Amino acid sequence: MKKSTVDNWDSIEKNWREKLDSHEEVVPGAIWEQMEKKLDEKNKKAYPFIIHRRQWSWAAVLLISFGLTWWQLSNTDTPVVGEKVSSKLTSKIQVPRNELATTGNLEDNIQIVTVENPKHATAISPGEIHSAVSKEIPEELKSSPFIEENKPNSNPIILADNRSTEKENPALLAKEESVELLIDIQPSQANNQEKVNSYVPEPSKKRNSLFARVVKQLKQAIDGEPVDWQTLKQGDPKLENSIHQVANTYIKTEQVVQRTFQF
Amino acid sequence: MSKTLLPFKSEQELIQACQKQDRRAQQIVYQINAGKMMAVCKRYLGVGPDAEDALMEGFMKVFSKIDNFQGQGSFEGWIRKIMVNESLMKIRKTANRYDQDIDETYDVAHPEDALMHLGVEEIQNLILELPPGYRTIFNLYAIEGYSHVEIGDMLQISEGTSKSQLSRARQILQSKLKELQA
Repeated sequence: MKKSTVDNWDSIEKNWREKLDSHEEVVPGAIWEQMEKKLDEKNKKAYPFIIHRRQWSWAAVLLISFGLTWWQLSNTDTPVVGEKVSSKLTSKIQVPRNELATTGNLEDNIQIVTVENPKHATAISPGEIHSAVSKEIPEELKSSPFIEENKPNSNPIILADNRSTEKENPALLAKEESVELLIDIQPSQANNQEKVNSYVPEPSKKRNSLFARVVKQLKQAIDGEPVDWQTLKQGDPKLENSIHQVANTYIKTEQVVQRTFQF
Repeated sequence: MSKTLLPFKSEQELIQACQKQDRRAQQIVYQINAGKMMAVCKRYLGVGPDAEDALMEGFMKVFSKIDNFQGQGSFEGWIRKIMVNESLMKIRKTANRYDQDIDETYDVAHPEDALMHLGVEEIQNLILELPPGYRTIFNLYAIEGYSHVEIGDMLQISEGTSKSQLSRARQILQSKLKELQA
């Protein structure tokens, strides 16, 4: 067996090691791009929930805040302006304020009273209107000349067709300013074949439309698109009047979710 | 290629961000180390796609195993070790180059002084001219600083084989230098 000669090899190799230690080669830029793709694929496979957790958290925020607000509102007995005041059929009567102010007599206003759904309207005495108004109409409307000037009497009000009324009374065409009253009107017996409830906005439909909006927002959140929670309130008087509650609940829930997921 | 740690304040912070799979942190780690690690891979695998593959797969391993880095030793040293292992795996896949069980050592002449004054490129080229088996053991022993026992474990060869292959590598280097000087 021959002996190896390593006298100065150690020092040479040390010299080479020091030189090569800081040596660098040029790296093609495409390598990082390929790596990024691989890392993305790997993360998608390994952590599908983590990748989308931000979007899911937005969806959770929306869902929780909406649920809490809905629950809060459903447990509130405070009457809301514009809400249906009884289970009976509610029709809208529009009376120009200037007409009321000048005539001050309900009988004079017979021609200008219009009903949205004349089929289901029947004759109502002014006394019934007065009692309905005094019970259900907000304070600011109670001060209207319409309320003050008209006392209950036996003269019935004839509810006319909207179009014919407009022809007869051109003053209505202007409609510069009108007082909107909600009055319960009993359905007439003769026209009772058609269901009365079909003319009342069904609560279930309202919920569905709101639900559809929530679903749309959730889809947007999951897709990573910006979410505008204010669109949820559109068309819903409860939410419109209590939007601050919605906002507060939303922000609180968002903070809780962010703390939980540690963004 | 920018080699700043920004926006991270320290290497520790950078590593922690990488452990959370932060893409910006991963890119910075790559930018800081890719050049050096490419040189390591090329020293084992030569110029070609194998070195680039080893670099990429090595960094993928760095990012997936970064939780295992406990802060003992330098981060660069840890990455280098992964790159060396990745290069060895590439060599193993292509052929078994350590099947020669040679216990015989070779007579290597006293090294020329010229070897001390070689530039980096010349050293790199000389090493790359070695046959793959000798080159691997010379790299592991002379450049990376592993012992023959460690090399034997890494390559599944005997300690004697590692020693003999190192002797042979030195002999070839010596003769190559003479060819250059001639």
